Amino acid sequence: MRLGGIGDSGGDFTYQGAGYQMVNVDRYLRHWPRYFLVAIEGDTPIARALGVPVEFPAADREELPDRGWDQAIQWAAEDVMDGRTPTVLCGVEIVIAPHVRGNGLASVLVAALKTCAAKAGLRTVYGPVRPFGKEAEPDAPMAEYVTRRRPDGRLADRWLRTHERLGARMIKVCPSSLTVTGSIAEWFDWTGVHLADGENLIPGAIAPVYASTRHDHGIYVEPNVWFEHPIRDG
Amino acid sequence: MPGWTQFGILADMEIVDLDERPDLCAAAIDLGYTGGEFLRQGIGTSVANPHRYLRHWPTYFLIAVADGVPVARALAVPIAFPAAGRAALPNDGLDEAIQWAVQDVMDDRAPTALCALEVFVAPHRRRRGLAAAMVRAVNARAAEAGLRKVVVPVRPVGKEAEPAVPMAEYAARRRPDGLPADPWLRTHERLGAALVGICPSAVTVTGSIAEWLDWTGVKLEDGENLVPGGIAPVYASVTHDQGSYCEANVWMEHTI
Repeated sequence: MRLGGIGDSGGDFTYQGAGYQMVNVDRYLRHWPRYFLVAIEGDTPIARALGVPVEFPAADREELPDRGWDQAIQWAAEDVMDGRTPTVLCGVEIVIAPHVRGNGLASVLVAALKTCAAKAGLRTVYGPVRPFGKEAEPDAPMAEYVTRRRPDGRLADRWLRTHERLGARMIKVCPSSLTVTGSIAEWFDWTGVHLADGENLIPGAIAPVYASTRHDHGIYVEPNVWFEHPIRDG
Repeated sequence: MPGWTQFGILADMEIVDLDERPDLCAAAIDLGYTGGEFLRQGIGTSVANPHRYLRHWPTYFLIAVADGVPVARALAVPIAFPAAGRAALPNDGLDEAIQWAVQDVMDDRAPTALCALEVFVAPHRRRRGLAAAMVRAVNARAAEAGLRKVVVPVRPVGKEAEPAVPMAEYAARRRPDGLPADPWLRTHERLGAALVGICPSAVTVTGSIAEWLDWTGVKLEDGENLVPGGIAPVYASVTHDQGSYCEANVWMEHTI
């Protein structure tokens, strides 16, 4: 589950990947409206929480995928195409307006996704979690980053800590959870950064963008962390 | 099916589709694949699997049959193109074209074009014009379905020998007779296709260092790596336990 921000430009390039192109508003309205939750204050949306229903595990889906977020969305699309019945919910993103952050709303939204899943008869909520503290350390290997804990034993990353505190279990790192590719010109358009050969660090990224000017492309592969939220009353 | 010989195939052959002959699906797939095995590990390509072809796109899975046995296949997906949000052919080439086809099924949107994904000819049947015949058959199928164009993210076969060369430079090479130097680009041009542009990130495959070793037999090192069956380098980071392959293709367009 990704924590972005309404009006927050950091990491907006991730919306150019195939995953976000699939989970657009029209497709939510048509196929998954009950899994698009909106927190409102008066009549004004202040946060949203999105999930996609997938069949998991299944004969052809034994383990949570290394391609995390991207793969979960593909599975959801395939299940629509194939007429398969979902068994779990996979969190897609949680986005909170800047002026209401820090009030515990993220926890409320995670809980709301679990309730929503339970009502739909789904067994579990999985989340390919993006530890947003990692934006400050894009060079750190994710496998090492997720083991960091504070002296009180809780996870060092705030967003990972939130999930653990809500009863979720960390399963494993998904090393290529979200991939974005494009030409050098596209990357400049998306980020304002003119990519140079090799590894590039760009705002809003939690891993480097690898670029080749010779081949005119840049590749961003973001690792996430699979969490499992059991649903007791499901 | 009378008339198929007009596509230039031998008289003992016919071209059928998966709608008529679903029983031939496995044998048509078992003919083999182009390029390295790793190319089939990408997320995009796995969506367009035989199961989904049988269900959604059976008339766009063509099989050349000789003596009752598949000897070649040609796969395409129907897409709405151009359309709202799809003004130009995408830089993400084959990967994005497949996503468009999936989205159109989900959105119940009528296609206007066909995107050819693959033509594969059994090794013992090559060099007899069968690949060109399959392209003609795909074009004919598009015409029958009322689709206006066939777009192809072409993977130039000769590029495996020169993975370090930029695709723009490679695709521009021509023989003294003026035709493209690459045989597969040449086949399409001879059949009337126009070169539209390069798609620099047409097919992307990501995996861990261990997965890449499993797929290719190559233990990736930091930086650029060459792997068998690749037409571009694999960028690897041992620190991040990550290898990324991104190949450029060439968009060509057949007007129907």
